Amino acid sequence: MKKIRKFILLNIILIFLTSCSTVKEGFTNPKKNNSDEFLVQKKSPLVMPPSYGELPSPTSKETLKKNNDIKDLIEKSNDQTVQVDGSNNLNKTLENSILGKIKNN
Amino acid sequence: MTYKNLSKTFFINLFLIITIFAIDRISKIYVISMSNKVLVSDIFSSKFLNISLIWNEGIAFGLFSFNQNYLYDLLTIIISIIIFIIFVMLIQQKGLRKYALSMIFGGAIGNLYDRIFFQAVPDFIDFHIADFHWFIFNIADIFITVGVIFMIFCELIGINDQYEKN
Repeated sequence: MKKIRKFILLNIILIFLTSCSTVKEGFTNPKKNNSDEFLVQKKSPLVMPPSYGELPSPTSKETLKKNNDIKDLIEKSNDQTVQVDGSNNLNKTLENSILGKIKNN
Repeated sequence: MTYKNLSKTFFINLFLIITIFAIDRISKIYVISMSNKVLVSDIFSSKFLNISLIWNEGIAFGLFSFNQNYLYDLLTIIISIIIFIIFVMLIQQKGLRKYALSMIFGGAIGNLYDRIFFQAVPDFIDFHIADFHWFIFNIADIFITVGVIFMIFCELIGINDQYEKN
């Protein structure tokens, strides 16, 4: 009788001290700190802004700069040609006046 | 002479307890770190043995796995009391039973440590034959089971009495 009592006591010790678990429980038992999916707020769908059509077409800074540079270059070249033409006319009039004075003398 | 014998058995038992606790801790730390690295609970799998980490909040066979904190604490207190009783028995007992109780005590404090610091005990050894899986256990469980079987044998066969006589 004493042996049976000890046997039962030892089995109780075995059950309380060991911590084996079943495979099924391991795969199905959810963790305590899982988030509740019902508490997650739904996001409203994406909507186009009201004045989206009024916005200017997007141009990059580089292309704008390039266009400006080309414009400047054209303007500069035009000025230079005008200046060159003007100086040529002045030279011609000087020559003619000198030649006229020589002829008169 | 008796003092010398006492001290010798004391150191053997202490060494046994510390060794069991250390083996258990190292194995658990290794498995937890591996599972964190792989990011999956299944670390190793073969035809008969799987190493997959599972956290058990209850006792043997996954019993008393409560979500309530106070029930978990109550279970931890009960386990602590049982461990204390085993410790008292360990001091009182002589012979082979002392070694058996040392094994139980070493394994039990290994599992209690996890219960206190991790709020659950990690189990990872999964023996299986085809689809039949045995309960997943850890190193501490092995030592506790071996210790209890050893104690039962001591009681049934009476090896301890012969050992004490010698």
